[in-house]
Amino acid sequence: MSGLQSIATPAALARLRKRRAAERRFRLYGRAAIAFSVTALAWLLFSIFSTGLSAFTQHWLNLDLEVKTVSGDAPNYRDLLADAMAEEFEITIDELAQDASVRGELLQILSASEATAQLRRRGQVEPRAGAVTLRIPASDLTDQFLKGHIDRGLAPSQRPVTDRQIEWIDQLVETGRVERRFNRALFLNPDSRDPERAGLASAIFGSVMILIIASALALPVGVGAAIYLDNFAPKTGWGGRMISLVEVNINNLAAVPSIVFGLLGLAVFINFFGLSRSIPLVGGLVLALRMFPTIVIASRAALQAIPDSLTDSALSLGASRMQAVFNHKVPLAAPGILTGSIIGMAQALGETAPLLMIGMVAFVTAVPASPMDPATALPVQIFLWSGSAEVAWAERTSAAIIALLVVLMLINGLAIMLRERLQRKRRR
Amino acid sequence: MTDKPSSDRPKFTCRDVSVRYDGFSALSGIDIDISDRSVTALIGPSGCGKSTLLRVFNRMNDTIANARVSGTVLMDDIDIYGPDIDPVLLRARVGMVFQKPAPFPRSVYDNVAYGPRLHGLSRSRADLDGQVEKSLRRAGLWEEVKDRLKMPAPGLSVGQQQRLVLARALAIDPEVILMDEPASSLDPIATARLEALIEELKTRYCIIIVTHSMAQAARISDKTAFLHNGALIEFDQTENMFTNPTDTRTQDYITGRFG
Amino acid sequence: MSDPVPIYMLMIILALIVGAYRLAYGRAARFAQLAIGGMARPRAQPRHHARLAAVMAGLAGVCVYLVGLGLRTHEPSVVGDGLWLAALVGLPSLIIGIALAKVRPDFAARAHIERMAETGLMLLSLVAVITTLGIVASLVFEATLFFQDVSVFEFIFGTHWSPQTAIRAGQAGQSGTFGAVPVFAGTFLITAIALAVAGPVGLMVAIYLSEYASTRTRAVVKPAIEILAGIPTVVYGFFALISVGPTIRHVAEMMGANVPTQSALAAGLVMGVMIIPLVSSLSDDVIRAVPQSLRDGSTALGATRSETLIRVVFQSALPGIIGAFLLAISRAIGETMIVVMAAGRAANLSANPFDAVTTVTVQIVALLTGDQVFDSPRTLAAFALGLVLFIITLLLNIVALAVVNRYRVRFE
Ligand SMILES: Nc1ncnc2c1ncn2[C@@H]1O[C@H](COP(=O)(O)OP(=O)(O)O)[C@@H](O)[C@H]1O
Ligand SMILES: [Mg+2]
Repeated sequence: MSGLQSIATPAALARLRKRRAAERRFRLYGRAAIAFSVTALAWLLFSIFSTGLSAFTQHWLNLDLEVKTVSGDAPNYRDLLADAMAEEFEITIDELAQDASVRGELLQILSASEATAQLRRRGQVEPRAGAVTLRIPASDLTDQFLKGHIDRGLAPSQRPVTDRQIEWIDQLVETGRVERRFNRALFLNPDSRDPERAGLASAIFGSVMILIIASALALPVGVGAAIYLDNFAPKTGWGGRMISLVEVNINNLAAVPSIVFGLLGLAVFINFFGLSRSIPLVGGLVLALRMFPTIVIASRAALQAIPDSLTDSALSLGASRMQAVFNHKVPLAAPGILTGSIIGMAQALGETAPLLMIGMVAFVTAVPASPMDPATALPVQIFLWSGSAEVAWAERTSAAIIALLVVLMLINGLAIMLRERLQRKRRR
Repeated sequence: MTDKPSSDRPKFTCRDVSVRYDGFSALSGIDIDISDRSVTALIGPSGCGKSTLLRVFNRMNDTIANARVSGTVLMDDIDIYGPDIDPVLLRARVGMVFQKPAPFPRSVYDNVAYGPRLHGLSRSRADLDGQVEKSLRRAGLWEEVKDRLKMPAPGLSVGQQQRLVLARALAIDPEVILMDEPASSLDPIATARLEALIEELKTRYCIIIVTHSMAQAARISDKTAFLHNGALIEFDQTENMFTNPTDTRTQDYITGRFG
Repeated sequence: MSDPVPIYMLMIILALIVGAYRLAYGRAARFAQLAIGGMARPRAQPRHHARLAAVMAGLAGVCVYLVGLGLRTHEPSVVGDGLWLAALVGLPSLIIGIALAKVRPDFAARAHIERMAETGLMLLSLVAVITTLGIVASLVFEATLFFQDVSVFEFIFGTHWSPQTAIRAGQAGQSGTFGAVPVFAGTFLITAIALAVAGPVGLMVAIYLSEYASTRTRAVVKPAIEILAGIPTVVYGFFALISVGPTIRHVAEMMGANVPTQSALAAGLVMGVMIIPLVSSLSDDVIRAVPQSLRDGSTALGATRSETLIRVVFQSALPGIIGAFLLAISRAIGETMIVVMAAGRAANLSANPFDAVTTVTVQIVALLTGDQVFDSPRTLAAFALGLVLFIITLLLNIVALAVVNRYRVRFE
């Protein structure tokens, strides 16, 4: 028997079959792990997008109402509105008197707060009774019903809309007084108790201010620290040991849970320095501390990629160390520093827990005008909305998430573009 | 168990063997017969395809994603690239020692026992102990490490490491040993030991060795193959090759005019 | 802002800085002109003198500003705005005077300003140390206050967590019971579930991608993993709340069990998914660091690919992989939003993954959100929990980073 066959005994072949099976199993585990991760991502994105996309449109009602009286010193606009709508749907006074819940149900199908606000405004201009045309958002109930999120086939006790309300809504649709429009309010309004009026404006302004403050602080400080550690820090002896402690410290700080930074902000900025809660200034300060280690680490990596020969040649021409570093090394490392910093900013944009600690969970119904006004931030707004059980809120929460994800994608895309461009330049 | 093939029957027969890396042809049209129980040296300027040819014999080129091997390679008249040949089994018959010794980061014992454990070659612990000792003796390392079999292998000297990986290869009881510039990271004393060892081993094994030292090829090999730009230029008895090479390129290379 | 005074003060500082720069520049420029007229060349250019003066004035101004701001907030009676203003103008002016006197041709302003810049840069690198010290100081300070009301022993070993209500007689009126064992147990349970998901999956993803996957698979899966890493945790929390939790409840219902939507399992699973990218990228680093020569050695001995991976690559990379897992644990312990949204707030002492449990971070959020007076044991308890969280994650990080870094250089 020759070599190859001599080892191919039945026992050896059986063993080989087992080993090959183990190999296939191992590969299968790998596939399963990949499939698990990709499926998880797909499920997440699907569940967010399928619930959230419909929130980018909103149903509006065009109502021509006959308002009876707008006299007297303090008209009750809700009652006026309910009466006018009753007339619209041909509900007699008797019916209204018999069934006390009719008025309530009538007001539930449109955005009552928006409608009364419009009536009030009109009443101030021309305090007369008469025909009024209202163009107002449908209530979240009507909106969800028209979007098909509420099943009309369910028993009346199982669904939030009553049979009567379904009748009225159908009547509005048939007469062409319902239209579906882009939900501008979602981006232009501040927060509200009514889903159809709630928007992200306060959160967006808050996030932008927080991000500007945080980057304005963390970027120069972080890059400066990285430049020092890379070029000026003592490498040996007692000082060198201190510096290596500083570096260990920075690496560890990057891995400290972000909620701890929130506690720091609460204790130092709010309790000790007496700044108010819920303001973007404190949020920016806290996130600056959170971003700082990330930026130092990214900037150091970018600086270390620049060969020393560059500064050496500048030094040999009589430049001071400071000049050599700032005029020759830093400009070359700038794209890398920028990329790292942008990714740090993207992370900061998604931070929620530290902002909760400093009280940015307040219900803010005004768009903040300065960093000292109460505000929320985009991720915090998501958290706040997620706490409400109604379908309309889940829809809007998902829409806010979509907005956040799109912004994050754009930011990261920018970083990737910068990195590619940098690499292309290097290769040349 | 193994019946001894007559010494004139070649261990390996290569016919029209070519290797491509993506578009680049590293070896083309190699015809060569390697005899058993002898030392065959592969020489040639760096980049000419020596390592590539060596990897043809144990199908290590299979593990390189962009490498494609074509042609026929027979080992004892069996096509080792045939559909029913599992490279795992082939490699249990054809051991290999690399340029830089790379012992696994574990004990000396575990390094040598790695192959036997993998292939289930030992029935008991005592059996395995015996195999480890035998392989270490054959590799000439036993006397030096017998008292520290549990020490981590990367702590050995480079010369010892090279003999350890040789012992590791011998432990699976191969018939062929491939060596890719095994002495290039060794000092002269360790190199001399290794050469003496090869001299000893060739009575049992078919040895193919890549070397860039002409003197080494002349000292230890029975036959020498000269490769140039992926082609086999000359293949002959070593003394013939070094005394009167037929090709001018061989002559230039041996006399040190290039490479 | 309702109080404009601090902003006016800042503007005054700015004016002082600009003034210092101009004055010093003017003085130095005269020397420079004299130098052209044949005198010895001055040792620095006007702009160096000017920068030095401006920096000195600015430093003095900012110091006075911060001291004044602090005193004003805490002791409004001591510092009137007038006194603040006087100090803010007076001290920097004095400094500017000194700086101007120093503007002489033989004064090496450039060397001075560079030394100051270097010192400034060094101070920047100390921000990290100051932050860490600030964290330690504030956590320890508030926690100490807490432990004046509640004994350390009760906090660490007590099994009843109920911060809202006074359970036992003899305790201070508004304070509850603070036995944190259920909180720690919940944290542990969720961390264990998360690691059970992220550990094997992350490791196998790293291995499959670097050793087996085709270029096409890699081109799809790598970005997917990166997206997983970039999704904010509040989004994961919402996903757990609206999709994973209800699905688990549904499945359990079909099997006849009654399970709450908020459960340790839902939070742990989703947290595991969140941590997959961390584990896989760290494992990928250490697996790649195992030299090819070791793999080739094993392959040449007739090992199959998975045998090489398990017996050689894993074995050599083990310390690094353990380090990666430690970092993953630290991340899971400190993760907040997923558990706040998906794990519930009930402090159940339970090892059943289908129960709602609570964690350290959830309790910190619960104790600190909403309106309450500071310094009540309720809010102070949050800092005690924060201290525990910080210490544990810090220890994990130090060990893990040391292991990972030492391992990375070992083969290089
Ligand atoms: N994995 C690979 N991919 C592409 N080209 C390769 C690869 N390995 C080797 N080569 C090329 O093949 C040729 C032969 O390589 P090799 O066999 O290692 O040469 P030698 O061992 O004689 O120095 C060289 O030109 C080398 O650049
Ligand atoms: Mg070679």
